Amino acid sequence: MKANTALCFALLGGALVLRQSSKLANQLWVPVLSSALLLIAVATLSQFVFDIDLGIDELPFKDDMSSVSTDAPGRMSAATALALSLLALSILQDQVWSDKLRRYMLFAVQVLGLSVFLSYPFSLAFGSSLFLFTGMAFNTSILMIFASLALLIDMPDRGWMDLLIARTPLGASTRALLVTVLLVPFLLGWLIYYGEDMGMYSSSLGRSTYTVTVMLLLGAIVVLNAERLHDAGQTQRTLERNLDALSRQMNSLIENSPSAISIKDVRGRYKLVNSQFAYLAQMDRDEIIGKPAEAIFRQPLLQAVIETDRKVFGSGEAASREIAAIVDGVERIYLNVKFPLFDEKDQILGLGGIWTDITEQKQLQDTLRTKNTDLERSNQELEQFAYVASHDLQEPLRMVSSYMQLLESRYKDKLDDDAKEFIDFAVDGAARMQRLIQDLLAFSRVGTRGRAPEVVSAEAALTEALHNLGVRIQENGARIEHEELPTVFVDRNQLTQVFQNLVGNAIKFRAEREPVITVQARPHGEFYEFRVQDNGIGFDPKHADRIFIIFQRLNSRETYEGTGIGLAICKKIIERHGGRIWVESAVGEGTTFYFTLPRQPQAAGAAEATSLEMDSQVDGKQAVESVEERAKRLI
Amino acid sequence: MENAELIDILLVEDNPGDVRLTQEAFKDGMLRNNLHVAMDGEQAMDFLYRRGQFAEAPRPDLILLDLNLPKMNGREVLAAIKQDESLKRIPVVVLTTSQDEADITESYRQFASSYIVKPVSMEKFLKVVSSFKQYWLSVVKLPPVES
Repeated sequence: MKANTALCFALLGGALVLRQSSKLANQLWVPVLSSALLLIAVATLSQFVFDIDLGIDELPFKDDMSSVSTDAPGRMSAATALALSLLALSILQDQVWSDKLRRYMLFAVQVLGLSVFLSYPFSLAFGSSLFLFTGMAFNTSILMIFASLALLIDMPDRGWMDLLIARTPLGASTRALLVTVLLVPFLLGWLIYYGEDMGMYSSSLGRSTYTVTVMLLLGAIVVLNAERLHDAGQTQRTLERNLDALSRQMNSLIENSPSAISIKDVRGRYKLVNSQFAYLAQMDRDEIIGKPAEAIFRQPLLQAVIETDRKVFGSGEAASREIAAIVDGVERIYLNVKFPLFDEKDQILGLGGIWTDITEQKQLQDTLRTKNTDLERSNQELEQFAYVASHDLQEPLRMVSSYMQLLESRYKDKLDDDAKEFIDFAVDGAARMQRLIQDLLAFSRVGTRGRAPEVVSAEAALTEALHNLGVRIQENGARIEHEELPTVFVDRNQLTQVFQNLVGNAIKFRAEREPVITVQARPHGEFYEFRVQDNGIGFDPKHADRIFIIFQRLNSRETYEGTGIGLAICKKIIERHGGRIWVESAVGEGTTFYFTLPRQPQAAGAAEATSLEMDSQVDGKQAVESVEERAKRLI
Repeated sequence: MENAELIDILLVEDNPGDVRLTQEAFKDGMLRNNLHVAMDGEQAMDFLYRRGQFAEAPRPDLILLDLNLPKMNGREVLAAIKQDESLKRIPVVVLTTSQDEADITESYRQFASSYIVKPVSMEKFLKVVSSFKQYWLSVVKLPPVES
């Protein structure tokens, strides 16, 4: 390598390193160094072309004339000068010339370097036949190859170099193929040449072996590649088929959607619409495609469409709004959803729109709202009725019974026994009516005054009920047996009332023997099944349903007091919580009441939950008081 | 007991039957009282402000108030009394047939002194009136009469 060549490579290396720097000051040195490089290379080249001596060849050092015989001592070879000029130009002109042109220039350097590099092992005397190749040094050729490679890779648009350095299967196989094609003939050729040189075989045998081997190798590569290409083709066909299937599916989806669907380009012109959209626009599909919204919709609908589009284009996010449109002369309400469509670089390339007809839902919603209002009013009326029953109906009753009693006490001496008996009947009737009214009120309050259910201990509710019944349990010498009861999801006061009514009933309808009442609970799916069993008088099972109906009684009023409200209230309470109540009995053998209550909130069921929620909106609390207690108080 | 004769009670009650019953019950006891009657809410306010026919009315020491009244109902009367600086100190006892929880809560919230549910039977009513008199007219010390 000549001294000038070494200098040039120093300049080139400096330029290449500084090019990578992020500092502007360093970047500024790149053209300076490359220009110097270019100057030396072009000057040397012009010495060859014009056959002159500019005296630059031996500027750094005086060449040792003994090693190489040449007419211009110290001068780098023409090939080197040409290659260095190309390298310098490709750096200097990187903003001016296209990457493609620069790639060809660098590729030429590659070929040049590679040719020289390969010529050395073969000791071929290219130089003698072609002036360009005179005496490029071996190390120069290697540097040449690396320098051009570095510049090839360091390019914004690498072209086919991208394929070579890609981390894909294709890149890998291309690299392997390139290495094989370059290396194998070279090594083979060199081996054969070497053997021939050593006199191991004749040159004709060597050449024919070389030819056949290279043919076989190239043939193998072609076949192998053909196979690979075939596979790639298959894959592509499968991909295309899949893509086609996908696109057909998408089209079917879009076409069969009950919603109107459209896709617009960035300029707001329709690119794709389905038949529902055409119906919405009241136009043919062909008339819509390629036109903007202004050509399709009329005001005020157009305004709404434009506003939504603008919002989506502005924010790059989906937007929705309800839009009223007159279609076929009927006003319909649509839920219009608009969303941006992006390309692979996240640039908005269009806008998708879906129009869903929600007219029916809207109407249903309105109806539901009206119904709800009606229901609330009706609930209020029921409340009002309950109040009327509790107050206004009782006033006249009080008058009847009070004045009857006043009559009796004031005129005791003037009334005969008949008159007193009549008065008693009147007072008794008024008192009974009073009780009926009170019970009716209690029954209606199960729904209107119930509280929202919560997870409560049934054990605590039973304890409270037994406490309230304390006197009667004692008077009757009743024995209550129960195991530890679980927690349930109920209105606690109402559960207390259920226990109180059922246990109270069991005591009331006791037999001669000592009353024994057992309370048990066992899990039953999402519910607990409770059981209140007594050893009382029992009843004919054919009445099992009747006893839960309000004011239905199985026994005469003379024997057992009460209006027949207790079990009706129990049934209403249990059903309000989504449970069930039933009874098993036999005359003389006692009665067993069963009822179920939810263990957890979700078991209560949607319908019940709604009704409970509505109930809970009424404040106040249901006074827990058995019908029998109430009756006593009233007398 | 010595101030018993000075006690003026205003009964606000629209039902003549109830008025009579209350009068009878009060007569039954040993104390003599001035039991004044207003038949509706507006009359009660006229009585308290000494308007119209009640120009000469005394300031009551105690008010017995029914809740369901024509024109101006008992709740409104109670609210009006308790919002008036000069009247708010007069104890108001609600005497009604309503057992409604909302009525009870609301009455105490409006500063009623007691809430009594009218019993249905005459016997019990007499007892209630008797204990009422015992409590309010001899046990309790009422606020002094203002000039």
